[in-house]
Amino acid sequence: MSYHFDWLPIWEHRDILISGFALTVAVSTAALVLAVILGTLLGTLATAQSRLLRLGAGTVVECTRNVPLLIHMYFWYIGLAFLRLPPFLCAVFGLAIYSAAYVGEIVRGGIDAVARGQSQAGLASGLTRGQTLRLVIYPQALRIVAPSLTGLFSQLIKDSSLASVITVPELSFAASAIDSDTFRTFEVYITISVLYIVVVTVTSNMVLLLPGAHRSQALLRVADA
Amino acid sequence: MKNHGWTRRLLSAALIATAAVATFAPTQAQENTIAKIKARGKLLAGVKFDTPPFGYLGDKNEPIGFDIDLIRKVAEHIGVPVELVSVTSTTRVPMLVSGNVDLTAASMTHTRERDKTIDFSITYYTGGQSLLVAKSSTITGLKDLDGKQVSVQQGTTLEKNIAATAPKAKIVAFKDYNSAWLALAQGRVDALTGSLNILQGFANGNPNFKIVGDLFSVEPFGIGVREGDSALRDEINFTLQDLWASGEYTQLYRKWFHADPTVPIEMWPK
Repeated sequence: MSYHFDWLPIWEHRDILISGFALTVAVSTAALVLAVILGTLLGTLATAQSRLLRLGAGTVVECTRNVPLLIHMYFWYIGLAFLRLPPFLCAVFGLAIYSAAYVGEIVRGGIDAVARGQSQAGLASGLTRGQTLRLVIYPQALRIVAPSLTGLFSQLIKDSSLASVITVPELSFAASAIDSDTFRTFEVYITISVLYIVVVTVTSNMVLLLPGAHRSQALLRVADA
Repeated sequence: MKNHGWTRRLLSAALIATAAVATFAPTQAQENTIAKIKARGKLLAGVKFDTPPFGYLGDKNEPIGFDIDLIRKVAEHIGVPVELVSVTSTTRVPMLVSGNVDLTAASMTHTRERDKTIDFSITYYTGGQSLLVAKSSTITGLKDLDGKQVSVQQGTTLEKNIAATAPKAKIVAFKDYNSAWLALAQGRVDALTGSLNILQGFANGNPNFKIVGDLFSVEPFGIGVREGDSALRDEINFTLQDLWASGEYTQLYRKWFHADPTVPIEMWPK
């Protein structure tokens, strides 16, 4: 009555797994870059002096964050079907915009956490608003938000598995394809779980590459986790 | 020494995990499933909820279809009520193997590959693969599919057939029929391929779509049971043959396909 593990079929389908893994990395990386750009913009707007900008950013964040990721994917793939965007782009857009809302909240929190005197001092010393943000606020905020951002990045990588429903042949899609071909359900899902663990662990440890990270207890904790 | 303890702990954790995985995944049903079904008081049947007219949700959101009617007859034969469990093309074999259902009647083609993992009843329906396209489409058959996008269900014989017969078509694989159909309805893809009767199920009452081309495969459908579960397989086979002999099979066939059966059920003498 015991299940006999047979890993050979997984090895025979390694090409599908490898291309799926590469696509997972590609979708995640593209979405991550886009999410950070959009999220930084949103987070910065959310701390703007203009009430209208703050309200606008808040509305965008709430509307995006409170809709399931699956629906974001369907929106780009099925909702805007007439555009015939490639599934890869649909997945990147869905994932990036959804995650950008979270990045935005983290960035807003990070900027708020930098002492108000810092920005006042920057402005008083003759820097423009943009320079103050770039040279004084962002570098300090980055150190504060890095642990939360890292957590979000690993979430994003795992979320990329939802791209399989809009026919992007990433890792989960590959697993499903191999499963229905070989019926080695446990072997294939154990394999991709290990691959996800590897890629998420590597990503989590990348936070250590930040300058001065080895001195920050908070960052080391994230890398250890 | 300290290091040793750590390795041992890890090893035992791995063993426990493996054992846990192994226990809920029996590959073979050596015990009598019929007795188990009777003791449980119901038959667990894996059926499709998204594949008209074989198994789908009707107007009252109740699962109905040809497969489901046949399964109700099998349950009647055993003398228990049936509980319908939703499966998809990718989950129908794993759900059966893992013991979540006793059988699957999920418009499943009997292939040699699948027969290595599970057992099948006699053929209860013979289908053929076709193409569904938009009314305005210029596609008239397989030959027009070069460079076109064709949606299909992942993990089906349909997917393999279309890849073999239209190698230049771009195959877009979905997890369930509804998504594959939606992709065609929304114009994401140029054609949907599937069993003729299933495509008719989608096209019925939808004048914007048409079925084109000749059938390009033979799909003998079988009801799946766990490998070695001959007691349940006999029960299913005898039910199917009784239904054929009594004419009920033909009635059900007419009810769902609006035509007479073209392939008779294989009969065994008493």
